[in-house]
Amino acid sequence: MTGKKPFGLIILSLAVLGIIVFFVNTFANSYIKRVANLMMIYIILAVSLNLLTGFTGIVSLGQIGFMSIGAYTSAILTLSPRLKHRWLIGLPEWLQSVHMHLFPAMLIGGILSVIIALGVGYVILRLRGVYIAVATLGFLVIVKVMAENWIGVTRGGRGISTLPGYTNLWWTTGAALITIYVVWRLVKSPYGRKMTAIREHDLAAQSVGVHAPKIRLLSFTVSAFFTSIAGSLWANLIGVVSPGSFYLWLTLLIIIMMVVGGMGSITGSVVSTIGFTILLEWLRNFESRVAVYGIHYILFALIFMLIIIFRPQGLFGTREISREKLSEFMRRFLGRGKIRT
Amino acid sequence: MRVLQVKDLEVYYGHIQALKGVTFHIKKGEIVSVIGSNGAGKSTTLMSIAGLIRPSSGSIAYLEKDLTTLDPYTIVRSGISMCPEGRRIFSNLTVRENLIMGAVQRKDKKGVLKDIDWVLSLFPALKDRLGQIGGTLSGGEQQMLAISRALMNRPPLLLLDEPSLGLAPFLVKKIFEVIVNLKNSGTTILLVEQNAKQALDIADRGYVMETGYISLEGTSDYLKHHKKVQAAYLGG
Amino acid sequence: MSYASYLIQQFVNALSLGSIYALVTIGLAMVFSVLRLINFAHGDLMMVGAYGILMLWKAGAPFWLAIVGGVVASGIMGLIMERFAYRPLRGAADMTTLLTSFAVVVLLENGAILVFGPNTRPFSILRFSVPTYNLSGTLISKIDLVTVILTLCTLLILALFIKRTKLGISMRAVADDLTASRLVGIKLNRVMVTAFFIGSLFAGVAGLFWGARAGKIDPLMGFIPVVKAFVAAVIGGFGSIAGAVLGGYVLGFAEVLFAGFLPPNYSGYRDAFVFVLLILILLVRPQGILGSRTRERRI
Repeated sequence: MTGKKPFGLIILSLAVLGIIVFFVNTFANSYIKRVANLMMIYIILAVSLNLLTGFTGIVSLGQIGFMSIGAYTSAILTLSPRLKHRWLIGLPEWLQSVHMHLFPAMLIGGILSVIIALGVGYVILRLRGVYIAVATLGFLVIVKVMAENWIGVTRGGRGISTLPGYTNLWWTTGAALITIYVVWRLVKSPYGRKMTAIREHDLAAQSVGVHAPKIRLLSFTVSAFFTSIAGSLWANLIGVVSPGSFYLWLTLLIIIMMVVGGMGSITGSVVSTIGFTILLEWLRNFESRVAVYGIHYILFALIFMLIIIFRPQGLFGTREISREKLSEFMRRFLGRGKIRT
Repeated sequence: MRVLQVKDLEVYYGHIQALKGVTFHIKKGEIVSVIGSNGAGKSTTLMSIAGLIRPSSGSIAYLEKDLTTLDPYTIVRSGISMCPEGRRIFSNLTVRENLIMGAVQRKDKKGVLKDIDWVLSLFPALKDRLGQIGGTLSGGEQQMLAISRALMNRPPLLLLDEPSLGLAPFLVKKIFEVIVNLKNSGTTILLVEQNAKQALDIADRGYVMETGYISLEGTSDYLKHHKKVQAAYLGG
Repeated sequence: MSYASYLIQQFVNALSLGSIYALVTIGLAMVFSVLRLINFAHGDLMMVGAYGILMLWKAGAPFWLAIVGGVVASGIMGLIMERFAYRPLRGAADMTTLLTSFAVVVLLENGAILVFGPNTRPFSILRFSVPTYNLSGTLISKIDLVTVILTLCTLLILALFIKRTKLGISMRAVADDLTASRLVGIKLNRVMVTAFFIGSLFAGVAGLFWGARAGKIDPLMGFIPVVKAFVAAVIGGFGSIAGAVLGGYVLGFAEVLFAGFLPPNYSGYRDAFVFVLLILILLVRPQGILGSRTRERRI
C-alpha cells in the first residue's frame, strides 16, 4: 500500500454527505430525522465498542453505562434551572442554576466518563476474558442502580424529561465522523498494532514489550469517551433519560451490530449499523401494525447466532474500505472503471 | 503381519509443516522405536495415529482398516491406546478413578476389576495409592499411572510417547522392563523416545526422525551401530 | 419477638436463599467445567422450568407431576440449547460462546414474552395453608424448609452420581483434561450433553424454589439469578461443583446479612452489592475459596 491519501475522494464524499445532511435536516419529516439521528448515534456506539472489543479484544458489557453517564450529565446540565429546582433537589445550588448548551454539556459528560473510565478500567482491566465481561456487566448494573436510587440527582425511575432538543443531524453526523476518524487513526497507528497484538495473545505481546495495561486502558477510555458523547446526543434527541434506557437491550443491540459488521472492521460497523437501524425501524412499524411485540429482538438474536456460526468474522471481517477496493467493487459490479495493474 | 501402516503422512500446524511424508510400519508383536531430537515430529506422528490431529494427506491403516480421518473415540475402540507425552493423568481424580477411565469403553465390570489387579502387579508402587488424588503423585508414579491407564483397555497396539522423560534412571529401567513384559505377552508397541539407548535396547526395529521425515530405518542392532545414530543420539 | 428468634429466622432464610443459589450455580459450574462455556441463558432455564410447572399445574396435573414435568422441560430446553446454539461453536473462542449465550437469552426471554405475556404471574404451587411452623415463638417458613431439605437431597444424589458412576467420573475427567479424556476413549458428546442436561434440570428445580419464594414468576426472572450464580461460582472457586455449592451458600448468607444491615432507603442497592462483591473477590482472591492458584484447566 503506497498510502497515498485519496484526498479528492474524501473531500468529495464529505461534500456529498454534507449535502445529504442538509436536505434531510431541512426538509425531511421529524420521524425520518429521528431515525437518521439515531443511526448516527448507533454508529458512534458501534464503532467505539469495536475499538474496545473488536480491535483490542476486551469484551465489555458495560459500555452503555458510560452512555448513561453522558446522557444524565447532559440532562442535568441542559435542563432548565426552573425544573431543576423542582425536580433535582439533590443537586447543589450552583448546578441547579447552570443552563448549558449541547456542546459544553457533551464535553463535560465526556470528561467525566473518561475520569470514571480511568478508575474503573484500572481496577477491572487486569482481569481476563469472561471475568472482564461480568465485571463490566456489574458496572452497567451499578450505574443503573445508582440512576434508579439517587433520586435527588437523577429523579430515579421516573427519569428526567423535557430535555431541550439540541441534537440535530449536523451534530450527530459530525460526532459520528469524528468518532470514525479518531478510531481509524488510532487503529492504523502503532497503538493499533499493539491492540491487535494484545487481542491475539496477551502474554506474547507483553513479552515483546507491549505495555498491555496501558494500551487496554487507552482503548477503554477512548471508547468510553465517545460512548458518552453518544449518550449526550441521545438525551437531547429523545428528550428523556431514564435508567432503563441504558441497559441490556441496548447493550445487546450494539454488540449484535458490531459482530455482524465484523469485529475489527470500522467499515463493517458503519454498514451493519445502517442496515440494522433501518431494519429495526421497519420491524417496529411492522410490530405495531400486527400488534405482536418483541419480534425484532428475536430476529436480531437469530441473525446474530447465524452469523456467529456460519460467518464468525462478520460481514467485513477485518477488512476496511479503501480506494483500491472501491474501484474493484465498481469494476466488478458496475462494469466500468479503469483496469488496474 | 503389518499391524500398523503409515504412509506418506503430512501434517501442518497452520503454515508450518510438521510431518513431511512419513512412512513406516509395525508388525504384530514387535516393539518399534522412533527416536529423534525435539521437534522432529515424533509426538505429532503419535497424535495423528491416535486421532487427535488430522493429517492433511497420507494414510494410517490399522489391521488394514483406514484410520486417517477417524476420531479418537473410534480409534481407541479399534484397539489402539496412547500414553501421551507429559503423562496427562487426571490430576483431580484418584488413581483408581484414573484406571477406571482407562477402561471407560469396556462393559465387563469384572474384567476391569481383574485388570486393575493386573496393572497393579506390573507397578506395585501404585498399590497403596489407589485412593490418592493423581495430582499428588510423584513424577514417576504418574508415569506408571499413565501407562497403566492406557493398558486398562487391553490394547493390542500401545503407543508410548516419551515414557522416560524426566524420570530417574532406576524408574526408567523399571518401566522399560514392563514394556518388554508387555511385548512378551503379545502387545504390539510403538515407542517414541528421546532416550535412544534404552529404546533401541528393547526395540526390535527403529526409525530415526529428523524435522518431519524419517531419515534412517532398520533393525535396532543396525541402528545402534550406525555411525550417524551413534554420533547424534548415543553419545558416541 | 426475641433476638434469638430473629436470628434463627434469618438463618433459615439465608439457608434457603443459599440453597437456591447453590442449585443454579451448580448447573452453571458443571457446564463450564465440562464444556468450557459460560451459559448466561442458564437463568432462563430456571424460567422455563417455572413456567412449565405453572402451565402443567394450571392444566390440571397433580402437583408432583407438574413439578417433575416442569423440571424435565428445563432439561429438554437445555438439550435444545446445547445442540443448536453451542455445539456448532465447539472449539470457538470463549468470547464467542459468551456473546452467543446472550443472544440465546434474548431469544428465550422474548419468546417467553410472546407466548406467556410480559406480566408476572402468581406462582403458588408450594403454598401451604399454614405457611409457617411455630417453634415456641419462632416462625419458620415451610417453603424455606422444603427448599433446604430438597436441595440437600438433590446435592446428595449428585454427589453419589459424580463419585460412583462411570458417567459421573467421566464428567470429572473431561473437566480435568479434555485431551486425555479423548485419548482414553471417552465419548465427549455423551458427557457434554449429560452435563448440560443435569445442569438444566438443576436450573429447573431452582426455578421452582425461586418462584415459590417470590410467589410469582415473569419472563425476565432468570437474568438476575444467573448473574448472581456467576458471582457465587467465582466466590467458591470457578468450575468446581463443590465450589459452586459453597459459593451459593456464602452468597445467600452474604445477601441476607447485607440486607439486614442496610438502612431501608438504600435497599435498591442490593443488586449492585453483588457486583461490588464480585469485583472485590476477583481482585483479592480470584481463584475463589476452594480454587488453587495454579489451577488452569488443561485443554
